[in-house]
Amino acid sequence: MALLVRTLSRSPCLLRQTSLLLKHSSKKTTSAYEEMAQYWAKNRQLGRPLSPFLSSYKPHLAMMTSLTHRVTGVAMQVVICGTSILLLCLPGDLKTNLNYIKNLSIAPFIIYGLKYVFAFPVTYHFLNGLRHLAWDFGYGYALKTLYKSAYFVMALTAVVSTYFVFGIKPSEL
Amino acid sequence: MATVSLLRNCSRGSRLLLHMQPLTSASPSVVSKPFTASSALATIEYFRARRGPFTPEEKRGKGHLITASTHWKVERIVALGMVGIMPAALFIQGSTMDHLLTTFVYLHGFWGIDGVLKDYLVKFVPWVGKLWYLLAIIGFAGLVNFNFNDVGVCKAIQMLWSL
Repeated sequence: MALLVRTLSRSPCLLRQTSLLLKHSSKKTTSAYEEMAQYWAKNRQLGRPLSPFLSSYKPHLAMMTSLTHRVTGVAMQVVICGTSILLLCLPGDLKTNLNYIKNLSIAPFIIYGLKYVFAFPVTYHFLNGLRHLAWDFGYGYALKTLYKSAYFVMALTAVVSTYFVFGIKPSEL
Repeated sequence: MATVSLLRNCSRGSRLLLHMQPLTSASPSVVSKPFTASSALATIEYFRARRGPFTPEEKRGKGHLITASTHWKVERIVALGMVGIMPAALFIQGSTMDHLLTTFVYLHGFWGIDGVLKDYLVKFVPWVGKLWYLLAIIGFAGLVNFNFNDVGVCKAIQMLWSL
């Protein structure tokens, strides 16, 4: 710190900036908005990069679980909304349309794969949503708990979604 | 925090700093200019970000029926309801469950996308929220229509899963 101060008082270029900062701090009665305005003006003047500076983060578990939560959520809602609008537009009822798909006689491994595509986001978002709800109520913030619950949810998602895909097969309707 | 301590040290350590002529403070007229990391992006005038500083009025928005905190609580209540409804839908099917599932899941998803758009996209494309409202209304109408005039959501998922 002392070194920094000494450098500051020597270099004229930095001094100018410091005096700018000093001016801001010396203002006794600045509103929060004025302070923000000055902050943004400085950001523009210095050409600073934008705040979520993603390329500088090393991905970690908490980040990835949260990101997956968002991505699965958005994907599911897009699919729900899209399917709903598609069904509005399609002629005929669901049964005839599904029969049409059935008559294509798609290979079982593709069917199971597609079932995973549907089952995984629902299961993951549901289970990880429980974590998010717990956080909203103020529990589970300790880093150890956070990591444990993340691994637990990942394992449980794998088990439950596999059960959904292979364990549940409703009779022909 | 660092800046504050730096300033304190500066003013204590070198009195000289205080006698410096301060620069003319940055004028708020810069506010309307786009703030982008790359200059290439700055040329696309239409998609320029509406970034800070937002006035308290802009932050608050207009025409809200409830405060943000109340809305947050309602969102959590809906999410908590889903924790019960979704597993229940595995065992109990029927028109009541169709409507319950549709309403809760769709509402949750609607708010989810709304939040994501507000986080990432609204500052670039301000009308995208309105587009989402329109699509969401059509989508919900489609689901309600499906529940009344077709087999219903629960049955539909069963049929899909029996493939």
